[in-house]
Parts: sequence; C-alpha cells; structure tokens
Amino acid sequence: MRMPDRNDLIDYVEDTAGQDRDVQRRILHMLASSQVMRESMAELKRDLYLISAQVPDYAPDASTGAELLRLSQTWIQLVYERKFSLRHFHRSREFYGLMLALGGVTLLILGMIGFSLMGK
Amino acid sequence: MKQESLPPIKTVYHALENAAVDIYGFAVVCHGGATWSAEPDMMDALLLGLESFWFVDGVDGQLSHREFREELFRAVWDKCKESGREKPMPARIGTEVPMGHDEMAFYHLPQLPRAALYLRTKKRFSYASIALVVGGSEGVVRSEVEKAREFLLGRRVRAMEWSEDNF
Repeated sequence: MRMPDRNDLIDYVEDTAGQDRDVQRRILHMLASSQVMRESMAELKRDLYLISAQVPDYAPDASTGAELLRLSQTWIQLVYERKFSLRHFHRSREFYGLMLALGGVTLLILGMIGFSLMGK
Repeated sequence: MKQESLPPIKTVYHALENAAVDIYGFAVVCHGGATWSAEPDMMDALLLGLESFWFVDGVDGQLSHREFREELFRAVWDKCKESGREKPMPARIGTEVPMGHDEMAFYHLPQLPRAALYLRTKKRFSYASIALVVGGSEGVVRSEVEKAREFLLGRRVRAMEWSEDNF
C-alpha cells in the first residue's frame, strides 16, 4: 500500500481515480481525520471548481434533433435498400454468400470432372 | 445491434440522440465554439458509428453507444483536429455561441489541451481514455491538462506539500 501522491489527490477530488481507487480512497479517508489534510483537500476542491467553471459545455438544440431523425431514417433506408433492392444487391452480404456458393459448386464440378478424367 | 436484424427507427433515434448529447459539447469545443462547423462533423461521426456498429444493446436492453464511447469521441476528434488542415484552427469566439467573460480564457488554449481538459472536467474521462481519444501517450495528456489548468487558474493547482515527494 503506497501513500497517495499529488495526482492521486487530484484524481480523488475529481472522482476519476484509476485502478487502485478503493485503496487510495481508504487511505484518504484515514488521512482526512487530520485538520491539515481536510483544509488541503478543500483548497484543492476550490481550485478544481474554479477551473471547471471556466470550461464551457453545450447541449444540442431542436434543429440537431431534426437532423438526427433524418440521419436515422436515411441510415435505415440505406441498409434496407442494400439488403433487399435488386439495384444494390451486389453490395449485400447475401450476394457475397451466393457468389461463394456458386464458386464452391463450380469447384466441386471441376473436381468431379477431373477425377472422372483421371479414372479413364 | 446485430447486422442481421435492424432495430426500429425510434430505437435508432433515441440511441443517436443520447450519443449526440454526449459528443455535442466536445465537437463544439474542438471547433473553437463554432456550432455551424461542429455539427456536420458530429453527424459524420454518428453516421460512422452506425456504419461501424458502435451502437450495441446494453445490459438494460437499450441500444447505446456506451461500449464504443471512446471510438465515437475519437471519430469526432479525427474529423476536427488541426493536423489535417492547412492552417491551425483559430478560436472562433463569439461567432455562434453566446459566451461570457469566464469562457474567453478557455478558447485561448490550443486545441489539444482544450479537448483534453474538456474531456477530463466535463466528461470525467480517465487520462488513459483521453489518450485513446486524442491519440497520444498518457503522460503527454497529463502534462497538457496540467498546463491548461495552470493557464486557467493563473498558478499551479494546490496540493499538500508532503505529497510532492515519493513515499
């Protein structure tokens, strides 16, 4: 068990600690019984809050929602077209499956012809 | 989401909506606050996510991007990072988004520290995840975030003195 370093303290305050998060948390809880430690953590929290207040965040508006609906419609339409339309059949998985099956059958026939010729 | 069976449009829309809410701020921040150029890149990333099957059924049975969250953020980052462009993208302060005085300093940061600090502060990403998104090492990301914090705060983030030494 190691003592938490500066980065661990910052991670702890930001609540994004790494793998040994629980161990660090336990140590920090023990250390938090000290007045000095509590004051330092409060200062650290204040600093990170001041930084966080300067970082903007945005939310999409209604026009983005409309774009998303169009995107999902377009995508589903595209996939169905690829799957079922004759025009886009050459791009579908079924087409490749069919090609594979035809290739297999051709090879089998060629093999059978070859064997029968060798037998004669 | 399996390739063989397509979910209904409502399910796809809700998954896209959740993903859009998640990545929207990141795309705008990467574009220096300009929503008009961020939105097309974000839509392209979402379409790439659909095409690459990054939307999968979660434990609650809902279609979600959670499992491939880093990949989706990375797609947004790849779309709008500076290296592929001829000129570095300047901050477009006051173009579309109404910004207060507090946000001005943030847009004076270069693109990489801006993106890294945003992911760390608002999205609670670990340093390893940020490195995965922006394509660098964890140490570089950590130092960039540290420098960005120093810039915004005007000094180093306070911490206990004993913690500076390795025990």
